[in-house]
Amino acid sequence: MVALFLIVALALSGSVTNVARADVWETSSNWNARAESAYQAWVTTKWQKNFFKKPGFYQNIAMDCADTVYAMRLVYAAENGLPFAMKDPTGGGGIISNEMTRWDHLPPDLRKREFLKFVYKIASTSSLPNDSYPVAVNRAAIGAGRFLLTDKASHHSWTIKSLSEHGVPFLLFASRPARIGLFERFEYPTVPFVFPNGIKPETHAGFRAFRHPRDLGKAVWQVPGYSLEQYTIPHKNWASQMQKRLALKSEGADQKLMRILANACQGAVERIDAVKRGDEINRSLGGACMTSIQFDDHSTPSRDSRLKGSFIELRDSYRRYLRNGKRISPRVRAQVEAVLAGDEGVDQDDFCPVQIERRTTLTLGQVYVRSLNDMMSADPHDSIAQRWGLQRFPSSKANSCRHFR
Amino acid sequence: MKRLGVVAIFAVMMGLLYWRSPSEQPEPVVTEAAEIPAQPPSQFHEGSEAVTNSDTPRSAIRLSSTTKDLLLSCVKGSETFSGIHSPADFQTLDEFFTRAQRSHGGEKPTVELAFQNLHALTSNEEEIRLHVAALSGGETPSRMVPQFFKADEDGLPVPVDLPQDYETLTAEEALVRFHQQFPKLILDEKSETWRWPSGASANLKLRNGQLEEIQLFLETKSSLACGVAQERQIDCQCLE
Repeated sequence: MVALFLIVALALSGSVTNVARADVWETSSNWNARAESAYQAWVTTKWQKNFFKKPGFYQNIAMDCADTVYAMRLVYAAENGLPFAMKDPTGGGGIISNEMTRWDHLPPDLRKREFLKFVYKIASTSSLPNDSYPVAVNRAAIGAGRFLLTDKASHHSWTIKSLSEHGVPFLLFASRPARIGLFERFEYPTVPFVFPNGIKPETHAGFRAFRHPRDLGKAVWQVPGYSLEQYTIPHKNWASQMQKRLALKSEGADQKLMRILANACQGAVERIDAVKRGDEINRSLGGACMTSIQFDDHSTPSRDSRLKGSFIELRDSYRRYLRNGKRISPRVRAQVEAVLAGDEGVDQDDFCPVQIERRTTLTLGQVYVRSLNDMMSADPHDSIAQRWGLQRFPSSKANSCRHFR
Repeated sequence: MKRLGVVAIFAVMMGLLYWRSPSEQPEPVVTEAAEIPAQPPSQFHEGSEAVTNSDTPRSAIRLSSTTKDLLLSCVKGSETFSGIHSPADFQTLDEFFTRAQRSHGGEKPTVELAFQNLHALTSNEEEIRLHVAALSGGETPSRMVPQFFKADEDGLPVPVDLPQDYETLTAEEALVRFHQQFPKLILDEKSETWRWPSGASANLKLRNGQLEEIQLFLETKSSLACGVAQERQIDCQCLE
């Protein structure tokens, strides 16, 4: 009788404890092929650049690039009762998961928000390799919900929102300094940026998928779906090779040129704000130099190299099409030639005005020629005019301040 | 993919790449100037349960003939390992790598740190962690930053502000400073990438100096992957 009483008492105390120690969210389902498929459909339709601006429990959370990759998986898992788990990047072999009870004093939706913010504080591009695996080169393995990681030297990552029928990934991503809105690109980032040390597996760079929680304890080569296939693709023409393998149909010359033009325009326009923010910080510091973090946040060497990559791709693709006698419509031809003409080009239909200051607007062609000739300063200690190649750089301040490279 | 599974009792042998008696110690690996320099030897706090390098002998453990056959067949055609021809050429994995190095006129791999975690006990016996990793999405190439954490009752991290005296330090300076400030280390965990001049490369995960996982990518496009399956046992595969 006493034993029975003890068992009942223990069982009761156990359930009381369970109530008090609530998970971030309850796991009611598991990752399997059906869940993965629903996840991909959700990413394609709901994962948008203003996702964190919309009213809701995830509104106004600022993030950097790796945060965005984890958020894509975490938010879907949270909203669908699926487990989210990642290795503790700070060491010790623990697992960070929705079963953590640290926020059990909060209402359920606030717990999710706090958990997401917690993941942002511990996750980075360095933790992504432990929580994912490299995938094969086919449409089943590369597409919505997967991500692209660079070599450690570039320490950047992009989520894949979708893969077009022409085999081009639609990328959604964030950068530093952390911010609420996301950026978009419809392209393959350049090889020198993704693979600065070559297309090699030890870099962890390339297309990757999240591990299921049950696979976190395994060595990466034991994870189902692990493949080194993408590292067999030659460095030369990596993007076109990838596109060819992933395409359902080939991309026409007009489509491709307009896509590259749009990416270049987006890159140039996004640089306006990045440069302005850096200039504001620089002015607020007076004669003082930026700290290493400020310098990292407001310098633009990676951004500038990606922009230059887009311009090079535009130029080379156009020349190749001309050489091969491909048909290009007069409208597209005029727009591309206006950009490639540089300072002499006339912006077609006000295609992409780049307003760098209130009274100064550059054409995309003017940006193109400055980008290609490395005339634009990446140093946030330089003036806006120097950052856009309208004046020679470096400034005396940029010359005297430390470069964190 | 061809899988050759082998389970052999030589977990410690893997660690010999790092933990060796002085007489057995091969040339240290080269550290790139831009990367984290070699750290001072860790002084692990003996009273901590987190320390796992207790009574494991650090002498070389001989490889089984099955494992040696696996290694030989896997590296066939690799320039890096061209100096190794028969099972008699090496007795341990340590010798396997050392021999490869020697056969290339002493060419050593460069080492790049992917991330490192140091856990220590403060004077109040509280756990404090230093995590050094690349700054996500930053503009500066290869920039690594230090972060501080405490641990909760489940051993999971609790972010804490970077101490003021660390704010101006580089990642490598922070690692050295942490060693000096918290001598009671209970964990030293890191992930490295090795690159041989001949083109082979490897990813390694080390815990308190013991190798936990290695994936060797050969110039021949195949790779040799070994991980500690359980204590004193290791699982190797040759992937093609």
